[in-house]
Amino acid sequence: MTASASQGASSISSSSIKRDASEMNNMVTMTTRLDANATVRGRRRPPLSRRQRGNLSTLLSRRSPFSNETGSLAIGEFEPSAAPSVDGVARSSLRDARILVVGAGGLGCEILKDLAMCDGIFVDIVVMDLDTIDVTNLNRQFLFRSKDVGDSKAAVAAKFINQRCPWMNVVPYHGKIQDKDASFYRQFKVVISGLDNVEARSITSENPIPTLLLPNRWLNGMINNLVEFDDDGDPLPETIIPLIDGGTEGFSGQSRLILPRITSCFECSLDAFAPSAAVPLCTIAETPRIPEHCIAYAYVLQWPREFPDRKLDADSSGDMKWVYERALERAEKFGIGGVTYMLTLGVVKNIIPAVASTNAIVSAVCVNEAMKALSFCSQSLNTYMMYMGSEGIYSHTFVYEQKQNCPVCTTTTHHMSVSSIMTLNSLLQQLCDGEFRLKAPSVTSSMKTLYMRKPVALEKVTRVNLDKPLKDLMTSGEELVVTDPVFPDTSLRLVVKFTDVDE
Amino acid sequence: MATDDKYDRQLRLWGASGQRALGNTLVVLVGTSACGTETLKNLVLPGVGSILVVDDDDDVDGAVTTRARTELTDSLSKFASPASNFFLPPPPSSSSSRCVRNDDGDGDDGNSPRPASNAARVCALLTELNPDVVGHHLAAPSLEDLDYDSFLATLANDQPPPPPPSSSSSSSSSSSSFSSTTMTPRTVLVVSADQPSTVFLPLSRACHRRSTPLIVVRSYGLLGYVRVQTPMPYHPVIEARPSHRLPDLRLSSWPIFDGLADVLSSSTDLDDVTDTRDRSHAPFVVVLLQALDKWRRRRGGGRGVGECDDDDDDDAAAPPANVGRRQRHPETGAEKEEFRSIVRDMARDLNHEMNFKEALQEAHLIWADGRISEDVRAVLDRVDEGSFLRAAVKSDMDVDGGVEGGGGEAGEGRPSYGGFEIPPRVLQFQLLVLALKRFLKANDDYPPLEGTIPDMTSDTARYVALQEAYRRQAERDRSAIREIAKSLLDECERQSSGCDLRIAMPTDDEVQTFCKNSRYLRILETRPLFAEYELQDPASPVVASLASTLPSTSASHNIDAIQSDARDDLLATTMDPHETDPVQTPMLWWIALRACDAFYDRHQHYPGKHDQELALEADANEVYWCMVQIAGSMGLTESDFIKEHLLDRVRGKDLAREVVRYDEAEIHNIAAVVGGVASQEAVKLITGQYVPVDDTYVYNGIASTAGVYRF
Repeated sequence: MTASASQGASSISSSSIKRDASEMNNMVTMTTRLDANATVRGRRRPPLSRRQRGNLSTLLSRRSPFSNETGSLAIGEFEPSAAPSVDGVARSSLRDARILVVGAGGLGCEILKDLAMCDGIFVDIVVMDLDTIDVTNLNRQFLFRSKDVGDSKAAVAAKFINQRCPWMNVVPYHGKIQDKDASFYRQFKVVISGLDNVEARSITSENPIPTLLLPNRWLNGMINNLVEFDDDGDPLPETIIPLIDGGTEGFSGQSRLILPRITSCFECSLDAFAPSAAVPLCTIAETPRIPEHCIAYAYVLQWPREFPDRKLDADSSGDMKWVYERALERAEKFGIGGVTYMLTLGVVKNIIPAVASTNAIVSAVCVNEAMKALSFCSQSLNTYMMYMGSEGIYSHTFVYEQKQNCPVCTTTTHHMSVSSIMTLNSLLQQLCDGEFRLKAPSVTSSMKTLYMRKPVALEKVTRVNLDKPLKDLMTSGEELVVTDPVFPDTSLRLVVKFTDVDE
Repeated sequence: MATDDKYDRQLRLWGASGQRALGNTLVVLVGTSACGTETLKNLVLPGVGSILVVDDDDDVDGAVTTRARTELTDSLSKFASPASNFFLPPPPSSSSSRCVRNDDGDGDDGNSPRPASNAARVCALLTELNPDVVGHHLAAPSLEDLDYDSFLATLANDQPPPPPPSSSSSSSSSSSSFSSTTMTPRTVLVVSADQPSTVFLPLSRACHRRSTPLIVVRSYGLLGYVRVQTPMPYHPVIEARPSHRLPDLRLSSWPIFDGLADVLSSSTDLDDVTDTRDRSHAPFVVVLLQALDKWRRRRGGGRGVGECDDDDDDDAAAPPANVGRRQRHPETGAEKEEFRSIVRDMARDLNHEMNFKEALQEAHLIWADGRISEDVRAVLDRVDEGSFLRAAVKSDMDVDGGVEGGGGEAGEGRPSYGGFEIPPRVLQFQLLVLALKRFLKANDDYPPLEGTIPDMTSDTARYVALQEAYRRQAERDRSAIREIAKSLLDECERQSSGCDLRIAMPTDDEVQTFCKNSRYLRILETRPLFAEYELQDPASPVVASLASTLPSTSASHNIDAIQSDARDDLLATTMDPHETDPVQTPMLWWIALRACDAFYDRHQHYPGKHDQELALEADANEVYWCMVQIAGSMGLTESDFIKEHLLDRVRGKDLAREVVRYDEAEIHNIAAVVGGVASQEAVKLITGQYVPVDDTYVYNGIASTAGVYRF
């Protein structure tokens, strides 16, 4: 014991609580002897925990030398509200602002909580997610409990927030973002996107490269499309909905602010998400070397052979055990070590490690930007912040430049030079593999529909064009209109020139 | 679902050993503000062993029975009014709860139920997140007057806490499970949330003395920071998990190890292979080594390029006489280019021979030095056998874990600060580092082989054989390390004269992890937090004692050196203003925050308490004055950047006005950012994996910029 003990110690017993067996919580009494000189001296200051701190309303009611219009990316002018009132009446304009949260997973749960904890100034939220709750979500998606496994993420998250924070009105939508059209998206003052950066993807023999980022690109395209222009061709400010996007992987993540048609957009940075190099099928089939090759063999080649009528369900432990056992057999045959069930899951589902802390950081940065973009009470992120936490902390805030000829946020016509005997099919393939990274393009020329994926009848009629050389379908220098599921309601204008034809 | 392990997504980051470390840790939270509860949320979710929430609270005793426990959770699950802390419901409105404050703190009239303490309520809502986590809470009368030293000593005890008061009727069943949890040795990590210096400085000293990691987290308006204080003597990192690892192929060592030599000698000269498939499926390692052989023959003995083909015969049985000249690797730019052209010439069709293409890309591995790096060398230099042997032997004085006894050298004018006990984790690290040092001495500075090779174009048989050769050699190296470690322990045993050792032989898994990562060993050692505040006064006893405890290999560390180190570090950071908007450089805002703390010390409240314009402006003037003082005491007044943006009265005052505007506001978003950062750092400190920040992360939520500084 140290000297202070002699001045007299008082014993404080904090008590606690026992939970019964059925309860989740286990809090147990803990008794600690502490030296508390304060009580000896007889007079106590009020506890630090009782000190009155300002809150968000304080910020909103006071002028700032760093309000939004002073920043390098100004959105609006800050008007301090009247003295903050307890019930928030003075901030009615902010309370009317409806906010869309896309994704109710690791980022979404955090985003909803962060919005609810803005001193009641945000109320109307819509949250969308097509997923249901899995047990592996519970280490970070803190609005879910094990009893919720199998239920809709959006519904459970909304219910939790509305319950704990009765002033909130969170409306869930359990479904795909593509289900909704422009009129739906137009109602929001800001959109916060916390989607997984990699689409639910399974590598199959016909689709060996995972399709990346489809929902992010679709949403980005949609929000960019909502922008209307005045007669001079300038975007109308009231049609610009700030899109705030976050993503994480392990201990790293990024948050960014997209002002459609003003800053760079998601599509501008597509190159930053390089698709991972696919392992050639011949390696998988003939010369496996590492455990991943054996696992790929089991689910890409063996599964369809064994179960031609049933798709592999990566969420079924039965299916995954089967894949694991086949992979193990193959590995043993070739003397390759390291096939585990955990690795099998990781490879088949392309699992990206995820932890609570990173989600918390990225989401809070996003919601802070949403708060500022709506209230103008401080400057805005210009435009991209990255956070890397595995070797010390490296975080960097910088302007992500708009891509010169971004197919989404610029109105550029793209040019391509190809051989006139190239088939339409090869051209479409090039659009998928090349810089545009399309998913399922359809093409029309000014004269006719060259290839349309939907409706089925049209697909049937136009399918014959796929194998035709381009010269039979169009003239050199003609402008084609390309549509694709990654660009909602918008299209890519593509001028195709033949390299082997003189004009 | 395909797995029922809720921790699957994080196990892929820190593995089972990291998860075990988490499960054995008690996290103590001092303060229940939002940045503290957010920090704990992100530690409860991944399954930290237990938490202890401490706060001061005067109208509470928190004696809650089992029945009331359920009521408590129910009453907490619905917040009465908007808040900024998701785990601390706003206090019940005054009409529903009558708070009678008694000066002696225990005048319970028995009838009116008192509200649960902040600590109790936070603990209830946090532990509800994860049934694996045990929650404790403690309401202290004052956080400023706690004796944190004895407090930490109590926590470190392995004994189960005394049985709960009899107020609980159903204690027997769960109390046994509780004791089993606490019987396992646990480590303690302390988080200080939103506390003034009157709390975090004593806490910092106690943690320093007790060799306990401390994280200080603060949210203040749109600003926040996280500060890490590593436990004494330092925080060792075995699994740094760097994002890029250079393959450990040892192609530049001479002689290459036997297994690899065997692979090479059993490979046919690729020039003689006619089968295209055979040629294009030889691993690039073989291509490179054969190319190296050609290069050496070209160089060696002055023989011309044309003659090298004649040498095939003496190739297999390399005579010892050749060793000297064949050690050479391409070194100069010209030599490297020459080597690459040999590889290019060996290929017949670079577009179809992927292995030759890979060999070209990976040619640098032929001259990459596989020996231990300077960084690791610096780590090795920090550990010596003598002090390890002393620390490993449990002395009688240590048994009580007494503060004074730990160093074993008390009474040399070295008061409390020197007497920490080296934690077992550090001892184990030192044992393995010492084994590594001996291993390096015997192996020309080459560390144990990692034993894994990257995927490369190859047929299965040759790849598997190559992998096997590396694996075997790694195993040999590993058992060598194990043997050395054993003999070191034997030496400890001999010196202990019968006393127990404070260290046991690491498991095979631990040795393997160490060997695999020996190229990336790290030591993190932050300047203690209290030192920053007290170093500025050379008369302070802290300065003297700190100078004597800062681990150093020589006695050259003195106060001047410490101070000038600190200042140089800081000055250097002011050379790096934020590119888009220099005024958003977090360092400026850090100084503004320090000024708010100074304001608090003078007034017992933070600036901006009163709304009137005149009052705000008066506070801003005082805060600005504090900022100038602090910049001066940090030695920054000569920095052009500080002159331009802080000492310039117009600009500097704007910084002051902004922080005065905040009135120490708790903005949830900021609390969540710094809470997220703090929990990530906590995970690194607890698991010993990844590299914690050194030492402060400052987040500026005005323009969302951030910086890392050493203070």
